[in-house]
Amino acid sequence: MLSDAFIDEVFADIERLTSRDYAEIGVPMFLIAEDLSPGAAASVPPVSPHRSALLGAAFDQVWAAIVARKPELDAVDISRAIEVVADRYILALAASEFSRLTDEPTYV
Amino acid sequence: MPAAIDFAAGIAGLLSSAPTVTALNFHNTPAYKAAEYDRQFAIIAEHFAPTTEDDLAIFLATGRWPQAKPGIVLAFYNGYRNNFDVIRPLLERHGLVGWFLVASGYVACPPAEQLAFGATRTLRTIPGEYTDGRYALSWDECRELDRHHVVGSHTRNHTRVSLDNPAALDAEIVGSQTDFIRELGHPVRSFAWLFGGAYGENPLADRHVDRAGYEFLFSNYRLQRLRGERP
Repeated sequence: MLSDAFIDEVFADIERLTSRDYAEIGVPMFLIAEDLSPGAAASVPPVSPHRSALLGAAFDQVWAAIVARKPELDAVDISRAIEVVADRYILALAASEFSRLTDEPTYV
Repeated sequence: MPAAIDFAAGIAGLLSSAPTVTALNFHNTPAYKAAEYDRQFAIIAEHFAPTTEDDLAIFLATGRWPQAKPGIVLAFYNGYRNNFDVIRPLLERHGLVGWFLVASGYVACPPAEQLAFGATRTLRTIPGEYTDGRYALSWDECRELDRHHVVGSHTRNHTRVSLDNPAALDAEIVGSQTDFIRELGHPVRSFAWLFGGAYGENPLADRHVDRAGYEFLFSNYRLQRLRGERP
């Protein structure tokens, strides 16, 4: 169950983000990666399931907030949800675990 | 709208189960925002590695980035001259790679006609930005970008075309690749749709993408690799 405060925060984010001049700013986005080339594996699992789980859960929550308050949904709402999630998590999901900060550099 | 709910559920499932690529999408990059872009790139360079098409091929095939940090696609859409003048030096200062996804017909358009070209094709310009009237990249600038960054196609005319019109699809998808081969001396590997359909959604469009030989296809929510050697 989402709190009203969480839903308010999502809609405040949407209002803040959509009020910017999109033609002159960098807009974060997460793109689902697919390899359809010959010989590719049928599916490539994410190397970091915990990051993927966090991303999926974040999208689910933001989408649930939109569904809870917006009576008529359309495709642009999905874009807004992804935009909110990407804006919030673009840097957080790129960060290594603290305990690995001094390991040999290999991003997983 | 149940369709949106179903689609959103599908997106959530894919975000949870498939590799994702982080992208930062730009269009115009006017000089008066250079300091803002500079600060953003400094932070991006701390968290992400410069990312080439070869890096992306490895990631899409294996789910792993070949560098110490995750990759990021810093995409600059349409082919604006201010991407070359403002962004290129900032990217290079921070050791980043830009992906310049260019409407080839905009570059080919004579400067005196570029404002009119853009006005009918959702290509926004900054009033008074360039007194010589050229708002698009030149081919020389594209060739320079092609040396250290990624140049890809964002159609030829940056206009909505009917997906059941073979001639229009041919011009926008294959014709754009022809332009790049002529001007850069090689085909480009990446194609970004204007209004976003993924490979597999429209067989006619897919056939044109195949004919053009693009390796990477950017659409609204997906980044697909279609061909190429196993990395």
